[in-house]
Amino acid sequence: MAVSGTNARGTFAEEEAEITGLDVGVARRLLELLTTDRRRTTVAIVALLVVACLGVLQPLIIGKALDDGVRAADGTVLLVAVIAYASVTIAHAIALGVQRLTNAYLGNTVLHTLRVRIFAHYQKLPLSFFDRQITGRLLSRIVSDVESIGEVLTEGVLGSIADLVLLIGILVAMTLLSWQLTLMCVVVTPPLYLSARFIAHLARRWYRTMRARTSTLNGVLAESVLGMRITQAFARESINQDRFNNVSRSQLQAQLRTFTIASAAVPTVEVFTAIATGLVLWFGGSFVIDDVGGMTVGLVAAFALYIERFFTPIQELATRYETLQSALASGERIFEILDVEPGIIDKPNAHELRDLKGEIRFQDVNFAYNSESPVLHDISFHANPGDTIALVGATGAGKTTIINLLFRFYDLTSGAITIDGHDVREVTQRSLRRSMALVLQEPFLFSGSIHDNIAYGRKDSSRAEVIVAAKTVGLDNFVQSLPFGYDTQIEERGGGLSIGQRQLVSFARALLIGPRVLVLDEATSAVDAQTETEIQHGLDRLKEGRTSIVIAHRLSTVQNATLILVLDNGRIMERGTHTDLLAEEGLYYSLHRLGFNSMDELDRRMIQGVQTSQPT
Amino acid sequence: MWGVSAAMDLLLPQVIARIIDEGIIAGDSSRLAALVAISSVLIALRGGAFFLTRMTMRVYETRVAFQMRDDLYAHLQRLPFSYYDRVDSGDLITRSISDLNRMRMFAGSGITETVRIVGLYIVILIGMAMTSAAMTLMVIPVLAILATISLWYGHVVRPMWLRIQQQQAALTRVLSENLNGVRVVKAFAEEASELGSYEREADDLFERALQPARVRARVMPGMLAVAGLGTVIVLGMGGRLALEGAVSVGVLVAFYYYFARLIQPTQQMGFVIQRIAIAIVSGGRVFELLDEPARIASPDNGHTPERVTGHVELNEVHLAYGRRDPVLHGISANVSAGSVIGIVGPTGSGKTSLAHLIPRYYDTTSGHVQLDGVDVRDYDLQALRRQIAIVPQDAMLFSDTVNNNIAYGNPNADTDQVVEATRDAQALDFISDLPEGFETVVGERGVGLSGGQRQRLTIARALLTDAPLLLLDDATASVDTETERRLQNALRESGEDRTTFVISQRVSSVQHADQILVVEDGQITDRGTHEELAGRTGFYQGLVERQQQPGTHPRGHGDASLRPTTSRSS
Repeated sequence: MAVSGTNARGTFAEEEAEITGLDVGVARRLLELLTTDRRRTTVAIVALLVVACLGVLQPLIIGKALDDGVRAADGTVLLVAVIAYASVTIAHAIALGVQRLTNAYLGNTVLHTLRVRIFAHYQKLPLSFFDRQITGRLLSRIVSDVESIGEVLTEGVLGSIADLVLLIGILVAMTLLSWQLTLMCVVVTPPLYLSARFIAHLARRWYRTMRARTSTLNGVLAESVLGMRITQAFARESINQDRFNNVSRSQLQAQLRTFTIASAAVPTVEVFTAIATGLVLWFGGSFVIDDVGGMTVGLVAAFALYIERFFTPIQELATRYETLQSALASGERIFEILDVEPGIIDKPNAHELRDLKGEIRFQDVNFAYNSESPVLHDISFHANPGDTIALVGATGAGKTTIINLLFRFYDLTSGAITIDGHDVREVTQRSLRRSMALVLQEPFLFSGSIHDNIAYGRKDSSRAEVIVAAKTVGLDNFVQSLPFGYDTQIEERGGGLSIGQRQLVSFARALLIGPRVLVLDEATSAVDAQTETEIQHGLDRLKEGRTSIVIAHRLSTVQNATLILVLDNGRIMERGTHTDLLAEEGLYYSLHRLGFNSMDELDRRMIQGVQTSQPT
Repeated sequence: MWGVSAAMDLLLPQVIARIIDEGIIAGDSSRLAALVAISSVLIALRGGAFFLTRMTMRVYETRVAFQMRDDLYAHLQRLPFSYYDRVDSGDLITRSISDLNRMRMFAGSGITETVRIVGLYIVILIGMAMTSAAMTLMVIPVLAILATISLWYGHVVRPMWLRIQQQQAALTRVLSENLNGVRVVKAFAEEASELGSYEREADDLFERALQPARVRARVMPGMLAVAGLGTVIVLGMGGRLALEGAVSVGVLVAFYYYFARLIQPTQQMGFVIQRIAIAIVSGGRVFELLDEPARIASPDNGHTPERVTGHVELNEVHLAYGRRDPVLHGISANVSAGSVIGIVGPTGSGKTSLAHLIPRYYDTTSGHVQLDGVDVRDYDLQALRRQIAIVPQDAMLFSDTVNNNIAYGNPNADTDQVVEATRDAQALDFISDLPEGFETVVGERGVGLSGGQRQRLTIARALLTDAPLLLLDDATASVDTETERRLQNALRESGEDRTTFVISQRVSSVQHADQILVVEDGQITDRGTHEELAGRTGFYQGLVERQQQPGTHPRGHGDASLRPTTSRSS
């Protein structure tokens, strides 16, 4: 069995497949973003026009100074020319300053807009989206992709527009000076354009390969960092190093290839510049000697200067190609995310769920994550305010799905779920979710103070309210013992607190929003006896007077439940109280006899074994 | 190559001066033709030379970055656990990817451009001096002013870039938490306030990002204006000299040509300095990582045993993480080869820390840990760790197939071995139920599997290494008692010559151990067998009482068909 390194290859193929097609739509949308601020866009365009015109004027003045000043030996003309040149230069510099600042402003605004827009979009996307995606990739969309667009937008796109305008300006000025010499320059343009296109075509393919390989490389690196403890524990460093070196080397090759091809644009432009300069000097010089078309030394000199300015923008445009490519590729990935439809949206006439009593009803609920494999079949149950419903069953039986549907993280396929008689699809998601509290098996805490974490669902809570919540679940004593009390900062992901303490914080957090319904995924991870007691106590206080739906792992929970639903394969197999179900001597009875610490871990075969061993 | 390119820059205006003076003004067509041909060749050569230099630099910078990346990766693998405890993994990833890349791009292009600009300045100064010493003296102050402004700009902009990068990290942190805590965010319907706090950080980043742009927008036109002043001097003074006949028209044009050639690099200067500033900031972050000492290093000529027997001895072991309060005080224990040791104690009492000393994830502050009578610090680090298989608390899996995850520590294992380890870990049944069996890819951090399933995969991973020492750190916390019992049986059968450490909160996990250590507050407060400890007042007895209330664990009357062996407990 070949087991080493296939991961790298697997990811690689996936990334290679990802990079097809790059449309102008992306460029258009980026440009639209760039130009939303009309006023600043106008300023930027005016500034760049001014910069281009003044840039075109400079060689003209030089030409005049040479012909009418120096050659004609006229000191006054020379002085005027010098003053004119100085004024033009200063105006040029000022306009350029304005242009740069506006560009930076516009560019950074786009970055800001994109960042916030992606983030806001992430908030709108349904949970099903996050279940499929790798967090690292979602992160890199905002971090590296937006950043890679950044430099190009601030330096590249507007710069390219400026170059283009300058190019046109120079062309006009040259034509006005001498159409014959301009023709010399224009003659070399089509072959130049064609060679540039050809190079671009070659570069593009390699550019994408490079992007894909870079992305693979980053993925391998990121996962290595996340799994470093395991790697060291299993002394697998050398294998991983080899694997990384391979991926890294293949990225290097693609990068070098891309650079080589892209760099070929520069000498190509230079060769054509040389040809054009030669033509201009030769014909221009000959015209002066033969006195054709009023050609003068000053004109030829001005032309020679123009050629520099004419081909530099072309060269710039050619070298900017690769950064532009990268921006477009990044833009493509960003819009791909922004174009994902938010799956679950409020109905236009959705109303607020208010003054809830906490009555829950599931009516013939069917659900499938995708059309082929249904996960829930005809789930019906009813909970009166204050009831506790315990969900029991193996992993994959559908317990978590029931919770997901109640919170409307997913929309059901058929049937109905109502709370106090309101269909969950008819009320606003916000009011629905805020009237229920979800406590997860593995409590997630945010970095910030303990106060902030408890007040997460109600940011305006006073310290007194936070303390009351903490006291209720039995967290207060511990917090008070900390040097900074409620202002103690929690490290990333709740580091520094024990599992039990994190649980209690999450209880207090749930309590503070004053929910009528409590949905709880009981923790399976064993904690020490004292913590266990603390958690149990906190939980009891949390459940008081509320309707609870609990994915049960603890015996005490099921024993005290109003209704136990035994689920298997998306169906309710048995229902009733602990006593009822034991008396029934069915599946629940057998599960119970096996002594469950965590019933969800019993694998299916065993349950089937129990089922078949039951007298029917 | 620089030489060629620079020589062209030096020669070209001279040729152009001749074209004007000796060709056009003198009316000499054949001379004109010859000079034009020369100038065209010079321009083409300049292009070629420029291309080659640029290519060489880029290849060089890319190769250097490649080498650094490999070194960085190797270094990351050497950094001790304590480092990973302390540092946010997102920050590490950012440093090894974006910072390294920025350093390459910005340092590479920054250096190339700097060399080019400095070279150009020198060459052009020489060219100017050759053309007209008087005019050169006049423009030198202008160039001095330009250089001063550039340096000042770099000085001002550098701290700004540092602040931008810090803010970027802060923004990423908010985002990463939002994504990782997406269930909480959605359940509390806190999307709006999350967006609000992200927007605040993003606004701050926006402001910070504009700062260097603002400075640059002021400085750069200033530099251009100064450069323009130079041109004015050239035209005004040079023109007067030409009027007086001191210099020819061709010389004036050549001089102007030289000066014009400096304008573009001057314009670039601000940009280049900014790039170098970014490179320095990013480079600093990369080097900080590379300079982080690998505190736990393998000794030279370390002991490399084929297979240890598994006799572990801890002698007066103390451990403190960094400057924090010590977590272990004076632990001593003797574990004979092939035995099973249970370690119980309250959360945070130091059980895991104790186990982590054997494979040297951490080094003791004082005291000794010996394996087969040799101090663990005298073993070759890799050889030592190959003797020990661990199932950590956090059941971390890689984004890879089930098979590759299990074979992680023993990639050369054949199918039979993998299946056997999987069966012993009680994971074979559920793996067979997965859509693609052993070839099913388990996602980032093992998404798609339950906690218990992940734990059983990590147990299989540890078993496959067939190491003489096995550390199970709360490895069955999410596994039900029945599966755990079968797992224990399998372990017993397969591992007579294996020393096993079982850290747990559960009596059922440790009750069959040869010896149980009770760790409380960093000290061993009691030790003995299950029967001994259960019979005397203390932490363990309390644990037994809580977990074995009558009715909670139906003992000795299990379904015979499912429980082939009768319970061995008291």
